[in-house]
Amino acid sequence: MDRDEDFAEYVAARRPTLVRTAVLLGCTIHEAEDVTQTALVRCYRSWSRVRRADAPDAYVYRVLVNALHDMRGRRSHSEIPSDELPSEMVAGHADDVTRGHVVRRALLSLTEQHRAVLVLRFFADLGERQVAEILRVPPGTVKSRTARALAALSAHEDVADLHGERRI
Amino acid sequence: MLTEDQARALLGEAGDTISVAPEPTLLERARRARRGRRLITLSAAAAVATVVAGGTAIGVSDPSTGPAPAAPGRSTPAASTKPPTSRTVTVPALEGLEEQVATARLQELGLRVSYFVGDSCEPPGSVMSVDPEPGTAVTPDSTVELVVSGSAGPGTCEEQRVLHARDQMIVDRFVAFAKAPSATTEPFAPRVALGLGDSVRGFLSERETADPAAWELPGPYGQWTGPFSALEYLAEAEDGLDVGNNLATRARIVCATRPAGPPPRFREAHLISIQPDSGEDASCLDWWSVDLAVDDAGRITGVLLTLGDP
Repeated sequence: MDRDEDFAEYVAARRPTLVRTAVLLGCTIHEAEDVTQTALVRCYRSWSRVRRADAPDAYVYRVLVNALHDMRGRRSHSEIPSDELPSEMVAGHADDVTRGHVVRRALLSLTEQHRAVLVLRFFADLGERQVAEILRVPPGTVKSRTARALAALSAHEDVADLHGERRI
Repeated sequence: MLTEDQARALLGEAGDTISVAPEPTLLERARRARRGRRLITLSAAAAVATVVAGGTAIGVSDPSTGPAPAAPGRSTPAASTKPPTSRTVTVPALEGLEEQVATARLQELGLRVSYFVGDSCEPPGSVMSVDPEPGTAVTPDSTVELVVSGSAGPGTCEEQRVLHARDQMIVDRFVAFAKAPSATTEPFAPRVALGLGDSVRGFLSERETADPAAWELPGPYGQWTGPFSALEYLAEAEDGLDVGNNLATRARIVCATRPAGPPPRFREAHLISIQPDSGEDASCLDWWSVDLAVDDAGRITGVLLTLGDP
């Protein structure tokens, strides 16, 4: 398989998850598509190196997060208003849509650091060491930050309702 | 409190609510971006080469006196032969001006501005070259690229000098060797140190240098698993090479994340650095350096490979 075929195959398989990751990190859908394109174009330039990386996905996520920071630096980034229903939500089972939206809204109420560690660990499914490299913090920081972020997400009123863990 | 599995399930549900439209043109966009980057690189390389080799700034710069002479080595866009009409504007001469002044002049003409930061000894923030060239007739909504000097760092300009003919010959022969290793008359010392990043990882005898496999160094190196071969990076370089003396001990401006420096064996040697002519890349994804340590007899005593970081 040549470089272009391999890249095209990777894009077809992973781009949707990358875009969703960027949305969960706080982008609008259009920003997420832009930043994902930027990241993938950067990766294409050195595709053979990306493929040789220990964990190619982690490498691409690292480029994605860097591209997101670049974009936020250029624009004074504004996040999705937490009280606005995102228009890009899929039509589907009403209850599923509501649950997903509740979680997205809860994520947006977290700090950027907490949101990033949760999204990269539990949506992108990256390991602690990989997240540490992406966020440029020690692995121990990822561990402690994850614990605090999980606590913050658990404490969110709507998320607690979802799991029936709310204490009155 | 949520467990990790519960968090994974919840974020999965959140992700499922996001509808992503397909993007069938991304590969073509990536190809176009790669082609575009090469053009930008050529512009910047020409500007830097003029500064380094000539020791003078590219001709300047008063828009009222008309366009400055074209920088040597630069191609003239086809559009420049087009006579100005009422629907076109002429790119003014901007070389030598401060970036903000040049930007304002272009915006007054209704032109868009993009920037490329080049490595040079000019005062930071001054315009080194303009693309399309001054005098070119363009439509008012065109984008004009300013190649702006970056901060080269203390002492850089004193270190930076024209590559000696002998060093250039060593580079040419080594690059040719990288593309087709063989037991020829390459000027290797009896023992060649192979370095990776900030450490020496092995040595080659003169006889072993002809074996490409002998150049492969095992990882890990940073997040890379390897193996790593300086020959491979040189052989695969597609955008040209940027060569200079003793560049290895400082970060190149386009890749500020370079580690502190090479291992002592290399730091103390006469170094010739070969790097990809890849222009500005904020991610540093493309950046690497192959540094040749050369003794007084012109023999290569060490080859150091350093990789950038995204």
